[in-house]
Amino acid sequence: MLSILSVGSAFPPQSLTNAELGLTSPSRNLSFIAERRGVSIPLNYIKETGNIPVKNALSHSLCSPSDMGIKAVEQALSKLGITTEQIELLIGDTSTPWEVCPSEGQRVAGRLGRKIPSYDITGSTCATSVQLSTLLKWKANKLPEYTVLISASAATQVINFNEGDERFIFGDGASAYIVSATHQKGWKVLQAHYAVNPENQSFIRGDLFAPLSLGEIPSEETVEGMLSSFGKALAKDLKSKVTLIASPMFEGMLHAWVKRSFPNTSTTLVSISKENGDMLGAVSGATFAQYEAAHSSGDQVLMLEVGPGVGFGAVLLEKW
Amino acid sequence: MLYILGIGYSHSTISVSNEFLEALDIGTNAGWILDKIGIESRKTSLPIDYIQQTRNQNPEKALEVTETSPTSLALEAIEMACKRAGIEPSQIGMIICDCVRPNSVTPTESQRIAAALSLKVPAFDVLTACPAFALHLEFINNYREEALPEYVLCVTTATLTHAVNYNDRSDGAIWGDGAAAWIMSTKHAGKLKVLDTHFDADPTRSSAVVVDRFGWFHQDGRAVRDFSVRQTVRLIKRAEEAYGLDWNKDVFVGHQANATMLAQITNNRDIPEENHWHNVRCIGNQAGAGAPASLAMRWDDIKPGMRILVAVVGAGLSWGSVLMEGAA
Repeated sequence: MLSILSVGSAFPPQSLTNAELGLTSPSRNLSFIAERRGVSIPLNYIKETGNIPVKNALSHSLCSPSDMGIKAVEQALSKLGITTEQIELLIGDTSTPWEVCPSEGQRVAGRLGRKIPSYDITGSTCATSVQLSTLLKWKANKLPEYTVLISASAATQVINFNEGDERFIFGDGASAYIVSATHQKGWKVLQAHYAVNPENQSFIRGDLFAPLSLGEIPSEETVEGMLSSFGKALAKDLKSKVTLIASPMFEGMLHAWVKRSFPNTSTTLVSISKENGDMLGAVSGATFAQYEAAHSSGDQVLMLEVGPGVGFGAVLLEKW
Repeated sequence: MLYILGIGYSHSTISVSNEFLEALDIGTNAGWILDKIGIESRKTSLPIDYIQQTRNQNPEKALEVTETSPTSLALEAIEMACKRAGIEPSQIGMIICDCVRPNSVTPTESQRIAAALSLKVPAFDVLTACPAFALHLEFINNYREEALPEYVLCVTTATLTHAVNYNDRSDGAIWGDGAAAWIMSTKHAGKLKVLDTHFDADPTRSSAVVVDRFGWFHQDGRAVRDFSVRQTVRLIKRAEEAYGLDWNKDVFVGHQANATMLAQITNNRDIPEENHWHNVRCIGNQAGAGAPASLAMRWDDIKPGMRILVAVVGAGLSWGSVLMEGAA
């Protein structure tokens, strides 16, 4: 049985409101608008340049995705009471790398001083579902005692703050899980699913030299059609109440789908997106880090992720 | 048991000769390049005129002057891999991809490939650059057999010449563009049986090889070269000791970093030229695609019982090996 033993999160040292950023209202009706978010480039720089060209942001930024990834790992290790020396495998993810090589996992493992297998498993913003669904399918003896899974995102560093709805949505942050098939505590990973539907694949697009851009957001019908492929499996293990963590841009849509699809399950949506913005792959982990302590043995958490690709995933956890 | 059913490759078609690089007047000459790295020419998807006139000083422009992308190269390699495996792309149940320098970081390269193939399957990137072949096989080998679909597609692709500063006399001589793709299965036997996989890393040295998102490739050349030779020799010795390899009949494929490095390695292990498969001399360093493309180019030479060791090293710093045997 794969378990999440601990989870950590980290955010940039600066929070800004939409008002501070000089933002008034988006051009389209978005179900999710952040009121305050971690932004990893200085406000003055944003006001002076609009963050164009985006490539210049790196030399002005307050922190990198890896900086946040490391802090998230350290928090998760501290919560669990183990040291970096006990990590034997580190898997990374980022959709906003400063370097496209080496991998984010290797950058973080290196800065933690670990000489261990490390690489990235990345499915754009579906980090939790793609990483956990992978490990859940591995032979038990292939998993070391402690594996770290990281997702780090610094989307604001590639946002054009002069125009576009992207300015309202994204924030920066990182999450880190410590998982194990050896220790049975924390949270059981009951199910993890991940797949891709190539339709609308570029609704979030991060071209190498261009600002992050938002295209047409997949419709409710498309998203529900994708998630329904996991519905039967989820129904087998879902209890009468579950805490829901959902990708920010689809929170309302996904919450409605859960209520309709599992009428015998009472759902409580929890979110940190109003405060932190959409942190791409780090959303699920960072939200879980904030809320997991409030749960008791037997409680369940359902994570639903939808992101570029279009990747979509579901993870069902139950507290030991 | 894990099998490779088919491997395909694709390379860009434009050749950059040593004489062309000498004519750039960047402090190198054709003889020095051949002597130092043993590469005679390399493949690029950039127009020769563009390299000559701009030296690719603004790598953003590189994307504008070519229609070849990591994805387009990958699709050609996938077509060959599927044909050799005797399957249709629609039968692929999972895609994993390594791309050291994608044109877009979101969606992932694997998701772009899924879209191009119209496949609604798990598609994600598993990234470590040059040792991708070893990582992907080790990665798939970690799965419980029943958890894998019938056919898994692995891809490694890169157009690294787009990230080369052609004013640098070393970097311009190294890189070529290429892709390799292979179909694996635990449910259907294929031409190559996977006997052993291994992957490891020393990320404390990850800054030794870097491709900046907004810039060029750069590396600590001497340190990487020493590491590459030493680590590859270790990987070969490990396989020799565990499996009693006989280089009079078994085959070695190394990371296609440069030909002189490969010669040092094969000399160290007494591997004869006829049992050393490589392509770096005419194509350049294709990052993760080099070793599997070399294997793909000799696909028809693989005979039952023949053992093939692929030992690869690179960014991360990471390394790994795969030992395969031609199936009956």
